[in-house]
Amino acid sequence: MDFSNLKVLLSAPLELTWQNVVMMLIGGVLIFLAIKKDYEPMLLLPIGFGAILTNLPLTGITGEDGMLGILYKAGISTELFPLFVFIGIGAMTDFGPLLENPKMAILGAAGQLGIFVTLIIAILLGFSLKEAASIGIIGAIDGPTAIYVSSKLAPHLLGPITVCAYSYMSLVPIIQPPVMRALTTMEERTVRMPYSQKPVSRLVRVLFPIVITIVVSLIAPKASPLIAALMFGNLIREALVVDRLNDAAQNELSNLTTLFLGITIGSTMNGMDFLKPTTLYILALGLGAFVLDTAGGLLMGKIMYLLSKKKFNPLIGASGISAFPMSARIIQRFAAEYDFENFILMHAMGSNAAGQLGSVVAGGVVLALLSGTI
Amino acid sequence: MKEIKISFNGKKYDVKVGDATTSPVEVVVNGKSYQVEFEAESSGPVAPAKTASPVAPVVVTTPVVSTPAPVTAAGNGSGVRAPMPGTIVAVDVKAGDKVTRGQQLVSLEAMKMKNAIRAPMDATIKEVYVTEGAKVQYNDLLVSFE
Repeated sequence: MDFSNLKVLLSAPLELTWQNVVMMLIGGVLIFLAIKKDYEPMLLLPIGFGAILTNLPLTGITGEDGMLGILYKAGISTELFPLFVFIGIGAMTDFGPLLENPKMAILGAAGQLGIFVTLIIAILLGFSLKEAASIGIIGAIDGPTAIYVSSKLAPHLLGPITVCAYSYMSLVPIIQPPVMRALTTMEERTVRMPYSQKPVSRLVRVLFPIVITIVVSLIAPKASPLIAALMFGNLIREALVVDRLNDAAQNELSNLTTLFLGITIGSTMNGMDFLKPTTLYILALGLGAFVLDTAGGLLMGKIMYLLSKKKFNPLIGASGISAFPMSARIIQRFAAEYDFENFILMHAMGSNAAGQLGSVVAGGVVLALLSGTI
Repeated sequence: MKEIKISFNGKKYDVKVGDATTSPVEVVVNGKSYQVEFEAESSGPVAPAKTASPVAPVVVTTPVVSTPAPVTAAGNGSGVRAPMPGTIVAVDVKAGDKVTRGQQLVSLEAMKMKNAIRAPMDATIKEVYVTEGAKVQYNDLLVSFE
């Protein structure tokens, strides 16, 4: 009998490298974290599965005509997926607390400190300018912005940057409190701020997304697609006349895009590309960016605390990042730990909504600054 | 701002009084800010606040429209108000219950976050004004104490 045909059955296992095996294990860990620890399961689960798929040899699934290859070309190279996600986020975000308290916008800007500091550190570590900018953008703590920017500037780092951004997003409750504890005094943490009721008219709510889109597009044209998608979603929400579109943006569009986005990002986690010292640097720099963002927001909060004659709770600054509304909730929980009668949630929501906006603008600014080199 | 430390019925209060020559005067009790207006019978706006300590908490309890519930200078006739708008998702006490400081009275969901509204002091519940599912506005009375 001729057994040579059986070799066909062994061809795939023989192609398997140790890197593939390690990456499949990492994919398994991501799935484990999603299921057991509830770490951003909406993304880490599909990413984990995508990572396993892409490391199975000879499947052709990530090839030009493979499912994941086609999805990558259609949704990531074109940046459509992150923009679709932003339409959904815009529809989900209530900018009311920010409109009630426009000075919170300052905190949303301060919360982007990490992006720029990390960019500089990454350059010093030997990354190219484009790579450094993509790594810095992890500091936006904003998955879609990170995907959007790095797919333009450094597509070869997309896998580690995305995994890093989403992992840290899920770690907001673990990473922020120690930073807040280290940088604030007991007196600062327990500043009480009564809820200030300033009703925002429907006209303002409707005009806000339109005006922001025009202003940001004129200042930073490269940020226009990001901000326009976010604001389009928000306009659908605030118009109050297109309930079906609002529902679709918040649910069907977001869910479907997230599903494809996750598995496609996972498919970039090829062992040969992923298992490099670079990935470890990115993980470390991303964490640094996140901590610096929180610190930047807190420092600005402290300045406002001093300027307001100790009436402004500096913790609110820490929510000037984009993890909306998670960060605001964490700040409320943290403040209540020290004084259960202190409710700064609505103020923190304002700063958090500003952070959502700030990270998108920061992503656009980074793209604009580097546009000459693209 | 003038800082005064007082104790009233065995409870300590940090009181800061703003410019007492104006009305309303800003008075901060334990970090909460109140706008206090003087009644006509008081001899001009200057006198009461300037005499400092014992007067301050009494001044605070004279209610002025739309200020938050005073942090209850005395336990009597006080209550707990909604610190922000939201929906009541749980009511953990009923009239007649004795509660201790820090005990959860109701749970208020705002911006999809559940917030425990706790008793600011040891007290007996006189009346509960909200039920599960009730929507409340800022400063609505939730629970009153005897």
